[in-house]
Amino acid sequence: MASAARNTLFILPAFALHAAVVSVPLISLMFFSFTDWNGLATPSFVGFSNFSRMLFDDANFRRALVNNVTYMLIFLTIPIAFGLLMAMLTVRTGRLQVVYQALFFIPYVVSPAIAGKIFMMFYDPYNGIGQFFASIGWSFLADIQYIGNRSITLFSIAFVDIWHWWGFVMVIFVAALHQVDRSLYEAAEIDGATKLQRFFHVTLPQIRPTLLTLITVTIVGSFVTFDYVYVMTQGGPAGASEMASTWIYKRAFSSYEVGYASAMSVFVCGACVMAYWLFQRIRRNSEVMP
Amino acid sequence: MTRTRRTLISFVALTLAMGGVASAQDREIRFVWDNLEPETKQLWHDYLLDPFEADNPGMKIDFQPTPQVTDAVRVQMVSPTTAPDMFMADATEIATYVDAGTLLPLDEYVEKYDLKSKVFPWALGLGFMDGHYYSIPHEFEATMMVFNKSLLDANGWKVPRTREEFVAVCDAAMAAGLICIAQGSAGNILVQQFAFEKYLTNYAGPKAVRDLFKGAVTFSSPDIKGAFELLKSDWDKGYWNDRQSPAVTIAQARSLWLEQRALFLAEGTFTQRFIDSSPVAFEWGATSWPSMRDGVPSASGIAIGAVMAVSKYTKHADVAGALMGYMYERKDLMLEGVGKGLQPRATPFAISDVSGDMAPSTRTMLTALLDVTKDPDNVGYAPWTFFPTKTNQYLMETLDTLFYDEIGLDDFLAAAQKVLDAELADGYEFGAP
Repeated sequence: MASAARNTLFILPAFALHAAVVSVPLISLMFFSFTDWNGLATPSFVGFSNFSRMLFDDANFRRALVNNVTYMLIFLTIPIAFGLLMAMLTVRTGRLQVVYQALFFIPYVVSPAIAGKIFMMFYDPYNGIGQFFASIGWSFLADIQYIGNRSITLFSIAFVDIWHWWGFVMVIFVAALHQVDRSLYEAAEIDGATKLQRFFHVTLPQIRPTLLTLITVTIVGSFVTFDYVYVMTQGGPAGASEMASTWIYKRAFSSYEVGYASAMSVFVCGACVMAYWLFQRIRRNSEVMP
Repeated sequence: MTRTRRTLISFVALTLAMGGVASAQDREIRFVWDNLEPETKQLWHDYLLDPFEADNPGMKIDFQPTPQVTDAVRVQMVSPTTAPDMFMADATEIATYVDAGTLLPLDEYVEKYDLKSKVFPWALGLGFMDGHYYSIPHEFEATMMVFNKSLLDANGWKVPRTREEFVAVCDAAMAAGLICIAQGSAGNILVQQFAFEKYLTNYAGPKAVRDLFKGAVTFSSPDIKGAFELLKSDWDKGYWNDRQSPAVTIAQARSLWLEQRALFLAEGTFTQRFIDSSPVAFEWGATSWPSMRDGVPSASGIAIGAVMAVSKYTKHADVAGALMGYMYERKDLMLEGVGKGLQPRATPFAISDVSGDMAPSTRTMLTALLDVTKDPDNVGYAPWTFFPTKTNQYLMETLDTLFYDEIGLDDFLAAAQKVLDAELADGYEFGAP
């Protein structure tokens, strides 16, 4: 009993901090989502009108959600696949793998704001990387409007985020790969399994917990992505890169519609929870099935 | 108790007592402003803050230039313990703070320091609402066409003053492989204001803009609609950064002008800060945007770059009031600072009043500012000072969608009108007479 009390005492500070910066603001958020509040004056209760506006009257929010889903699909594929591939190649390099890991991890420590600004220089249609491609005769790359072409703006921003993120994914996979029992590979080899078969029947099942964790993080992260978009385009041009988070930010801090922004935040939070729950159901079902 | 311990305790007690005495004598306020370049911050100290503290013993200013100041202040103002004593705001934000009951009325200090005789009436009037003064104007500025004179002269082109001249020079520039107007709004939609203000002022005219925001006409009225229609048409022609404005940052657009690949910058007198810090290797000038329609004279939008407000939670309102009064009392200091590159305050002055050696860029921009504002009947209204907040925000956020044909002009204007109608219903009043 004394030990339980002592243990409780040890976690109290962390719990208090969590309550102060997560739980209490979350409850406040839910409260303000039902109000018309400009962030300064006394909020007035408006019922579900914020949610109704969000779902039926705000085309920009719906477009932002579509962009979030697109972003999620990009990040569920490219960085995870590339990170795993590079991890598998890196672990075969013996002592040099530490060097490679350090090099590939460097982008992850660069501040997103700085990386965003640097890549906007690369994407400059007049003085950017297009000029370099033109100088070496690669006109097919020189003429690309990375930001100005609205059909690829989001992908141009995603490229920067992937550049930033994939090194971290690779390092996580390297750690997971090191946990795989070598004897499983030996047994598979003895049984005549090809490299591809060893990958699908040994490697993937063994690193499954890590893979599922990364997928979960990616899903949630895709809904809250903000920094690169805000620094580079603020959601433009013409909403091509608008995300739920940037739209919420603008409503809250530029238009004084904190109540409405709270409602959108509640919706996005709920969408994250739903996506996570759905993913966990799929995961559990796939574990149950033979 | 040992002698050493007694000595130590006495020393600590004396130090605390002296600190208490010192803090009782010094009244300090926290003054939050926009982020400043180190050189500009030093000018603030040299020509305002340090002289103020020297002339007002016991009054201290904790000056805090802050990035994203409007967002930061809005969050801080929620609580008495975090609210700054005095802070920078856009003129259009003051009404929100007044409605929330978070600002201190400044009538006492307007009277005490006779600000009515020192500050432009229209500027002082921006902070007058519900029968009280709630803000005092700070920086006085105007929208401008900043042009590369060397490039114009080299090609035999004139600085355009009419619509015809503007079209002629833009078409010629584009034919020569130049950009007519360098403008970049990527990552900074505030820049969009510079575009639509030029056309509202110089096509629709200041009176039409005034009527719009007083509710006498709508966005669909011929003058206002015509302004946006012309802007869209000029965008389609490629006058505005080859239709790349949303893909280019303001820094990149300015670089194009510096590299002499663009003729004009559609900005304002505040562009001087950029020019002063850049290697400009050519002759340049600034003037009002050309008339965009016969019968509408060329004009610039006047603006107050920022206003100062005082939180009702402050414990030293007299210090804040004294600082605001000092800014306008010590015109000599202001003029010295202006000569070094600071923005002028909203008070009358002549170029000959500015003391000391003036940098050529300062003289050019000050002369342009005084020139475009000399006729009070021919000035426009800069959006960040006069337009209702949500309507302005809508225009800034949605102009791109008009440019890229995501929305038709009629729908764009109808949506703008809807936002304006809501603000008028909420009690918005246009700040200029």
